[in-house]
Amino acid sequence: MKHVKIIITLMIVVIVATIGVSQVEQYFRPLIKAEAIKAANKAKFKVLPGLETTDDLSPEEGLDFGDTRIQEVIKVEGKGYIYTAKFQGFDSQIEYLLGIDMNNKVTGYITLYQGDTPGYGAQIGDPENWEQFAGKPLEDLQNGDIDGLSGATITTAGWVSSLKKVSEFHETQFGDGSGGPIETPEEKLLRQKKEILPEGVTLTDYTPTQDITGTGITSIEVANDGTNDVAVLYTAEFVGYNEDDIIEYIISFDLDSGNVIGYKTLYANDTAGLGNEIINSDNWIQFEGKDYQELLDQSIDKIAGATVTTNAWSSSLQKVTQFHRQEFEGEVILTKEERIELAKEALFPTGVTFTDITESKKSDFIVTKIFEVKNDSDEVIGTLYLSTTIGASYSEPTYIQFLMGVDTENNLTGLMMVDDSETEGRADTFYEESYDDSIEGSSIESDLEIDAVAGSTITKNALQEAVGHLIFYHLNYFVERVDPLAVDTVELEAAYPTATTFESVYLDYDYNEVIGNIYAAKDASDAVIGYVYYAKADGNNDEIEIWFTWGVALDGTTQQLNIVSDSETWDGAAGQYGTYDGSFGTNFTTTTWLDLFEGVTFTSLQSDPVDTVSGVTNSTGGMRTTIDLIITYHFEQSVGGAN
Amino acid sequence: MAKKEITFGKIFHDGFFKQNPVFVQFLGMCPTLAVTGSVETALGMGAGVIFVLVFSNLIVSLIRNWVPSEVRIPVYIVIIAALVTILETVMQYYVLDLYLALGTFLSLIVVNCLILGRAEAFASQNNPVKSAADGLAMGLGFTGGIVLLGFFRELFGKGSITIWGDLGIQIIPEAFQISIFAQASGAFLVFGILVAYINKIKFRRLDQSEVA
Repeated sequence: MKHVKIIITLMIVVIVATIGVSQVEQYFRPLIKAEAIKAANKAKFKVLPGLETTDDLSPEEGLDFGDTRIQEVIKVEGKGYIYTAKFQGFDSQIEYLLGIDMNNKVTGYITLYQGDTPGYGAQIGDPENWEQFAGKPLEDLQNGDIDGLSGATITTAGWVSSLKKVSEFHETQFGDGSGGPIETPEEKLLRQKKEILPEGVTLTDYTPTQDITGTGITSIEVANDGTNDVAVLYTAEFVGYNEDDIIEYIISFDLDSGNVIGYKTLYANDTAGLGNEIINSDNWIQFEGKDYQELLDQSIDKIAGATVTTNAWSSSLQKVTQFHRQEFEGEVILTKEERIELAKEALFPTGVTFTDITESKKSDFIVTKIFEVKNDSDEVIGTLYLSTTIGASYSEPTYIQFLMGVDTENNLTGLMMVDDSETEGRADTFYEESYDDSIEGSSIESDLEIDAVAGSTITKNALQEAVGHLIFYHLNYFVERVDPLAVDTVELEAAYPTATTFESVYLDYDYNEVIGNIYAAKDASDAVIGYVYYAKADGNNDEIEIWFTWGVALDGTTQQLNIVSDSETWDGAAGQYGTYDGSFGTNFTTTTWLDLFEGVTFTSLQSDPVDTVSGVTNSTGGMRTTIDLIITYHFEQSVGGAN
Repeated sequence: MAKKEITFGKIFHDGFFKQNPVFVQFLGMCPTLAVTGSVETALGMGAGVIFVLVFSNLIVSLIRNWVPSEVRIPVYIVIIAALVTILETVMQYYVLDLYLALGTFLSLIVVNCLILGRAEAFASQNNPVKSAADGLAMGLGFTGGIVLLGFFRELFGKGSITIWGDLGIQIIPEAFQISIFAQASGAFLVFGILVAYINKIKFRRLDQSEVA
C-alpha cells in the first residue's frame, strides 16, 4: 500500500509541476520570441532610423555579392537598405551593419562582432567611431573618406576597403536603376545641383543672351529663393586626356558675391587614378567659395599626374566663369589668349598666319615668343614679339607681358599689353588700344618714346626699356636665315682629309649666324664619319671676318682647322702687335696656335680651353668665341647624335 | 512534536543574523561567489531566490503531511525545479538583460542547497504561513548577504554602484579602481574578510555572555 502511495504522490507532483510549467511557458514563449526578434533587429533599427517592426526584414535574394563579403542585404521599401558585411581585421573577422537611405546617404553603422586587439583594432567596437557615418554621402565611402582607428592601420585598411566595396556594390546594384533605383537619374542630378546651391531655391532654365558656342556650357539655370535670383548654375563639359569622352560638371556662382558656391563633377571617363580623380570630391572642395578671379586666372589646385586633364579643366572653368561675368555681371573679360588674338589682329590687320619661329631664333630673356606674320598671299609682312618683362612693384616681382609688331620695313606696327601682375588698375591704360598710337608706324631705328601714363611711371619705364631691348634684338639678332653658304670641296677636304664626299646637312639643324654651313663627311662607302663646320670668327676689328672649316669625327675628335679666307692684319707682322712674341708664327692663316684645335676632342676643349695669345687677343679671342660656340652648338643641336 | 513553537520574530532574526545563509550557514556559495560582481546582479539573484524559496517552502509545507518521507527529497526537487523554470521564463521576458547577466546561475538555483535545506529543515516541519515567512526571511538574509558582497566588490572593483540598469552612481574614479575585486578572486577575498569580521562580532558576544 505504501508503494502505491509513493507512486501516486510522485505522479501527481510531476503532473502538477508539468502542467504549471507548461502553462507559464505557453503564455510567455511567444512573447519572448517576439522580444528576441526585436532585440536581434535592434541594431538594424539603429542603422536605419525609421524602420518599423512591421517592415519586411527578409534579405534580398539572388544577388551576386562577388568578393564584397556582403552577408545579406535587406531592402526596406521606401526607407533604405541594411547591409551586413564582414572583413578581415588584424586579429579577427569583423562583422558590421551599414544602413543606407534611398538618397545614397549612410544612415548608420554598427559593428556587430569584432575580436581585435584591445586598444587598437578593437576600437572598431567603440560607438564613438560609428558616429561619423550617419549622414555621410555614399561617395565618401567610395573614396575611402572615413576617420580611421588610431594605431590600427591594418584593421582600418580592411574597414575602408570593405566599406568601399559595399558602397560600390550598392551603387552598381541599386544606385543606377538596374536593381530598383533609389533615385532616378533626374532626381540624382537635381539633388547634386541642390547640394551646391543655397537651401530652398527653385531652379529655372535660363536662355543666355550671348552665344555659348565654344564655352562648353550645356545648360544654365538660375536659382531663385522666392524673391530674388540668388545664384546661377552651369552645366558644362570638356574633353580631358581621354579624347573619346567628355567630362561633365556643374558649378554654381553666387549672384551677390560673384564667387563660386560649389562644384561637382557629374561624369568622367578618364584614366583611373589620374585624370579620373576629377570625380573625387577631394578635388572639388577647393571651389567652395572660391574667388571668381582665381578661375579667370586658371589658378586651381591641379590633379596630380594629370596635366592634360587639369589644363583642359581649368580652361573650361575659365571659359564658364568668363561667360558668367559677361552674361550676369556685364563685365567684358578677355583672357590672355583672347587678348593675344585681338592684339594680333590689331597689330597686323592683314596678317593671316602667325607662325611661331621662336625656336629658330637667338633666345633672349625678355623674348617669350616670336611669330612670323604672313598675309593671305603667303608673303612675310612682319614679325610679332611676345615679350615678358619685369614690372613695377618694389615689394615683390611683378611682370608685364605685351606684344610688339614690326613690319618688314622695320616700322613699329604697335604695342599691345596682354597680361600683367601689377598693382590693380595701375596698368589699365596700357591695355587701351589707342595707347601706342603716337609711335605707331614709326621706324624702330628712330628713338621711340612711348607715352607716359600718370601714376604708372615705373611700369611705363619698364615697358619703354623692354621695347628698346626688343628693337635692339630685332635689329641685331633677328637675322633671317640665309641659305647655307657654299664652300669649295678643297676646303672641306682640308678640314677632314680622311673623308671622300661631303653633304650639307645644315638645314636639319637650327640656324646660327656664325655658322655658314655644316657638312656631313662621308667615307668611300658613303657612311658618315664626321662633320665639317664652315664658320666665321671676328678678326682684329669688327670689319674683319675669318672664315674657316673645321672637321670633327663622330666621337668628337677634331680633325684639321683650315682657314678659308681672312683679311687679318696680323699677317706678316711679328712684333708689330703689342707684346706678341711671335712664338706662334707671323701669319694668322698658318699660325701654329690653330694646331691646338686639331686632334683633340670637343669635350677636352670645353673643359680645358686653348688660351688666347697675348698681344693678339682680338684675333685669337674672336676665334675662340666661334670655336666655343660651335662646340656648344654641336652638343645642343646634337649634331650626328652628339650630346 | 514536542518542539517549542517558533515565533515570527525568531524566524526573521534567524534568517537575517543568527542563521544567515551566506555568512553563517554557508549555503548557496555558488551564486554567492559568481554573481556578486555588481549590486544589480546580486539583487537580481536575491529576488529570484526569494521567489523560489518562498513558494517552495509554502508548497512543501502544504504537502508535508501527505508526501511519504521516502520520496520527499525527489518531490522537493521537482517542485523547486518547476519553480525555477517558471522564474527563468518570466525573467527572460521581463528583465532580459538581468536574465543574460545571471546566465546559467539562474538555472542553478535548482541546486542551491539553501532552498532544499530550508524545505527539509523548516517547511517540512512547520505550517504554511510560518514556512513562507521562513522562506522570505532566509531569502532576504541571502539577498542581504550577497548584496553586501556585491556592494564592496563593485565599489572597489568598478568604482560604481548600480542599482538597476542605468540607475547607478560612479563613486571612485577609474584611476583608483582595484580590478581584482571585480574578478572571481575578488569574491573570495571580500567574502573571507566579511566572514572573519562577522565571526569576530559573534565570538565577542559569546565571550561576553559567558563572562556574564
